[in-house]
Amino acid sequence: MITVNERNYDFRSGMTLLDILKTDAVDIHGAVLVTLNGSLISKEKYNETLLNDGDAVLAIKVVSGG
Amino acid sequence: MWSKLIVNMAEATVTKLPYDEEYLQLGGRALVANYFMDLVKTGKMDPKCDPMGEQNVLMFCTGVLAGTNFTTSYRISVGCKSPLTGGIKEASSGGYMGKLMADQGYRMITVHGLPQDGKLRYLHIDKEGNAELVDAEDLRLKGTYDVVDAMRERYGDGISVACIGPAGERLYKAASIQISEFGTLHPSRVAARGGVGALMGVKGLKAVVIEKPTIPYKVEYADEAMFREAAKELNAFIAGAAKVDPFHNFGTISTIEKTGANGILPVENFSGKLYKDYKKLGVEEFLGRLAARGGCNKKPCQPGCLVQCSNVYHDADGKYLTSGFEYETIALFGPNCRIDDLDKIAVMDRMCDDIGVDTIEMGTACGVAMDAGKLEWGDADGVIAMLEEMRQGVGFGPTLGDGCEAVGLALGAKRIPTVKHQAISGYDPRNTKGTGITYATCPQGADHTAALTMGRAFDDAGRTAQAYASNKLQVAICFSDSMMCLFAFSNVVPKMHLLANLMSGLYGGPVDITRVTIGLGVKTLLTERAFNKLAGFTDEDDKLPEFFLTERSAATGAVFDINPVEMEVLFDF
Ligand code: SF4
Repeated sequence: MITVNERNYDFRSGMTLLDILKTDAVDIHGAVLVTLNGSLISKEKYNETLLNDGDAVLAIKVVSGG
Repeated sequence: MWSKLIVNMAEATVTKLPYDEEYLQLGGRALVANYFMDLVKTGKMDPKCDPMGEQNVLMFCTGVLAGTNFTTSYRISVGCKSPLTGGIKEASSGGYMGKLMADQGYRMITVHGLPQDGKLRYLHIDKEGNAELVDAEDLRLKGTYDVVDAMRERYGDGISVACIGPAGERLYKAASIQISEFGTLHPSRVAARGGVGALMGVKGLKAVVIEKPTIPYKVEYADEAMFREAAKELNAFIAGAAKVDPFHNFGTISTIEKTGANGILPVENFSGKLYKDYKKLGVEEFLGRLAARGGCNKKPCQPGCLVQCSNVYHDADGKYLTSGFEYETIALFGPNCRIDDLDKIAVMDRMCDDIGVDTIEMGTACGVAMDAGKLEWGDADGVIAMLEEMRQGVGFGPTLGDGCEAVGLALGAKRIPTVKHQAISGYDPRNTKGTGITYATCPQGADHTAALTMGRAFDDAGRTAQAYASNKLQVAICFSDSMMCLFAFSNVVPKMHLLANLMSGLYGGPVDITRVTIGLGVKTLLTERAFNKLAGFTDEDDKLPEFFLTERSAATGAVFDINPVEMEVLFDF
């Protein structure tokens, strides 16, 4: 099982971060930052980052400023 | 029963009195607006008075929910007639002071008069709640970090410190009041804007030091069960939302990931250009340095904060450099001055905190100085040298200390990004027009927290619904600034109706959200505007600098094209 923003998804061996982000309803266009188990992953690495069973992904959208 | 402290600097006395019944259901920004309007109504303050004269009052107050377990209810507000703008000022800050003030049973400290003997003093509230003014001559012109160290040596770690640095003592109009963070005691939370530190300086008050009380004050609830149920639901909701909140996960620096790409990030004194290297100051670089050098993020500046947007930033040798290192500082000392060295900007942040000066005024002032040819674009060492001159009170330093407008006027600059004499923050108003409307019309002067509409109006650079978005947000932020931290508030919106239960559970009366939205929101905004009018402000003061209306943003081609009529009806509630 993989979680994306706390929603559960089935884990498949060989699955990359980009695979799961593509399947998820989360909009990753614009200012979105993605963490894997709490660590920030840069956009260029989505396709080469292999997921493990139990991983937690967060797709965090920057909406406003501070 | 809550108390208040009246500090008389002319006679060097401190008096403890019961807190006023009529202010019980007010706090933070709403209390500041009402208190200062009441001073005018009762003839105690001429609204046109010299803000640095003896009629002006410096107020520290808590939010309306202080003393409870509702998250971020321990903000501190500093109120006065602003030495920078000449209008009403409420400068909101995090840090530990709000918690210890409430634990001591104080909702408000007001500082009156000017010292007759020219002496510097600090206000000390001990563990038993006794308050006195103490000689602070040994702290004269000390930086805020040294002040905190001295107080820690005297009273131990269980204290909060709100203090001024050399900027406040030198009466610079951009002087801030630095407030120590929870846990670390770093003086890096800031009542930054409007020159509140200059007023503290002219009053000869170096610091307010509060010890953790032996017996904390216990809040009386009208209906404790109702309050606790609502607070539990809201706290759980905010904690859940914080998990995907960029401010929790990365800090306010995450804002640059959005503004850098869409032309909202100010570049070269709000030239409207894009800054392609903004990622050098972005989240990845920032988090990488925190991790490699032993710094950290996800820090709470006050106890009980569930959003935890603060951070600790170390230098290349792994030594503490600064904390509460925020987007505004990075944007304005960064791309706005064409500087892309995060470590140098962190040095500037530390210097500003230590000298006790607003980083927004400083970043914009340096951008104007570069635009006018005083420094080269990107000259980080030149900026650091100028900040040092300001600390010492020599050379160009005193002009810089008076903020962006003073620097622009001194250098004959044409493009000065200020409204009501206060600098615009890290958002180009041509590309977030609702924010531009807020800058123009906010009674506080151009302000980064007063209603930043980015991401909230349909098209940030378009005209649709911008005035509507600014209006709604300005009201919401008035009540947020009276109750809680804005960054927690932005996660509360879907359950906002429960704020009525908090008010009712704490103070009794009907569960009615208009107590919040109208009572603390609309009324506050209108009271602030009425104060400013009495202080001499007119519609002419509700305008952006001309260059935003005539120069196109190179990033989007937009100018600030909101019709003045649209802005005039903004406050027609
Ligand atoms: S969200 Fe940030 S600024 Fe607000 S109280 Fe928490 S740590 Fe402080």
